Amino acid sequence: MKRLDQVQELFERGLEVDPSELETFLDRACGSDTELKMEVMALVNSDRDSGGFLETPALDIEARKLAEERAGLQGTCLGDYEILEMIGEGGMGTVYRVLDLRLGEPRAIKVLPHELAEDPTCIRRFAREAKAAMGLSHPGIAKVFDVCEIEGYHFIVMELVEGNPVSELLSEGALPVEQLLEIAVGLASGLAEAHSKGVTHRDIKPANVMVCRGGGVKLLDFGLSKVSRKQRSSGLFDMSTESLTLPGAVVGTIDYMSPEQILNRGIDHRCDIFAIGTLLYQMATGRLPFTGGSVPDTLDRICHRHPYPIARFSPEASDRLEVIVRRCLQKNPEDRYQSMELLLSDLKRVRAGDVVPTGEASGRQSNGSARSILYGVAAVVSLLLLLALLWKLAFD
Amino acid sequence: MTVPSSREVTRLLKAWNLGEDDAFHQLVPLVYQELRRLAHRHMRKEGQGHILQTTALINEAYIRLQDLNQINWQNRSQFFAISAQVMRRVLVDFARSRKARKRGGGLDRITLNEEVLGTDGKNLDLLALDEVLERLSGFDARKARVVELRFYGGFSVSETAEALGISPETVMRDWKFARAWLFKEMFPQ
Repeated sequence: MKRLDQVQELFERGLEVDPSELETFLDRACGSDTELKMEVMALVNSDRDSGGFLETPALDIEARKLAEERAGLQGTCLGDYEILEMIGEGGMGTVYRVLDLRLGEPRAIKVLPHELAEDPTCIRRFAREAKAAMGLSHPGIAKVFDVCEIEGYHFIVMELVEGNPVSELLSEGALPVEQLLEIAVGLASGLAEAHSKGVTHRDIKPANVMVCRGGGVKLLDFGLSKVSRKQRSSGLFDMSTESLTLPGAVVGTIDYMSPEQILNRGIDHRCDIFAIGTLLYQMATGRLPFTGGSVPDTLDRICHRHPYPIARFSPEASDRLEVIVRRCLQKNPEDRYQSMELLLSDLKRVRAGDVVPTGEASGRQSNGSARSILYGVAAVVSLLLLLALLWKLAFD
Repeated sequence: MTVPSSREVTRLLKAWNLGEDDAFHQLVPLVYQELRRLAHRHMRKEGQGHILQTTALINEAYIRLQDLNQINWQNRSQFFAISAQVMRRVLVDFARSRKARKRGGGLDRITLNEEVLGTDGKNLDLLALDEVLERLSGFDARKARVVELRFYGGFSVSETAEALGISPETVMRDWKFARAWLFKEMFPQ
């Protein structure tokens, strides 16, 4: 019998023996082989002491330690920033309320997740985007003060915005028209400023729009949408894994995407106009314009279905708002408002009770885009097939 | 949620080995699905942060599996064994860089000793375990594989038995012995 088999057999028999008689048992079984005896004895004792050893799966252990590490920054300092409390967590990082010790001012910092911080391409993009956002100064935009790397943590320092995200307001349903227009005007004027500096947001969604405690609206997270790890896998799968992740982990990031983002075409400031249209529709009706029962269904609706009129869900909404939203939600960017300024002035007119010109002044009416729509349809069909496959695999 | 069908996986593996690159691309989502299934199995009453981290770890494993398209996988068992190995690699790498941050940063108030001394299983030092598991593998490779499949891969006893082509009873015996041996090496009396 091989030595190892011998050890294993004695170990198994030793486990059956009453602990007080183990030594006697092993003396008899091992004879003069004290080394064998010691080894088996140590193994049996280990088994008795081992409690929950290896009972918690490795994945759980590491996930919990990583989560603890993130929360663990609380009460420490990163450079001149004393971390007071965690105020938010998302796929793009953890947000903390901090105190700037030099200036004595409260600030917020957003710390890039470690899995992104270990990728040099990602870091470079993160710094570049943050620097672009630092050039923006407008009451409708949460100010970005700095981008830092301290002790292996990459983070941006932002204005601390106290208030409620629009996502929270929406959890109670549609918003009153006056409030909706206040938010829309504030949001559009911030974006108009950003667009004039050549910065697009690309990730406008209710969670990124804050209604401040003292009044006014501020848009958060400029430019961060471009930081995700797209360079490592195909854009398609990246997106689908994000929405296919465990329920609740990442909330509806595709719902506000424009057709050109889904089709991975040229993206410019007009994708922000589409996203505002989606947000306006949601604020007016309490529901999303293009949401389907599954990811492929939602993508299909965004790319080539028209939403129900707002009036169907909220009869009190004005025709003028309907016209504005419809123009924002055009599939072809050419058919939307061509600038945030134009959208902003129409929104202001509605707020003032004026009539919105429904005609050609603000945006070109649809023509000449049939061919690009056809290409679009072909691309969407192949994309949907792929996504449907993934969806089926993941949830069957 | 179902396990990818054995026949489907085997068919794709064969097609891929015959040079059909498309088969690999169909195969990878199956592995990803498998990893997610395992994660669901482990997802209990943990908080949001925990769920996010689990997702990040699985995504990492998935990305690495995509890079593995040079290996000639023969069948489903081997395919699952490789999932477990990749998961082990990912978890050990994450543990290593987390530890480096802790040392370098000096931000964490928990001392290193606390982590090493975590014998309750929830606080286990995955780096130290990896080393002793390598030693076990040196004299009894099968037992080390059992640990890899069960502890890192999250596979059940019967799945582990299937992957290694041994009986569930043998898996249980190997597991019991390996567990005692690893514990003895990690926490000597």
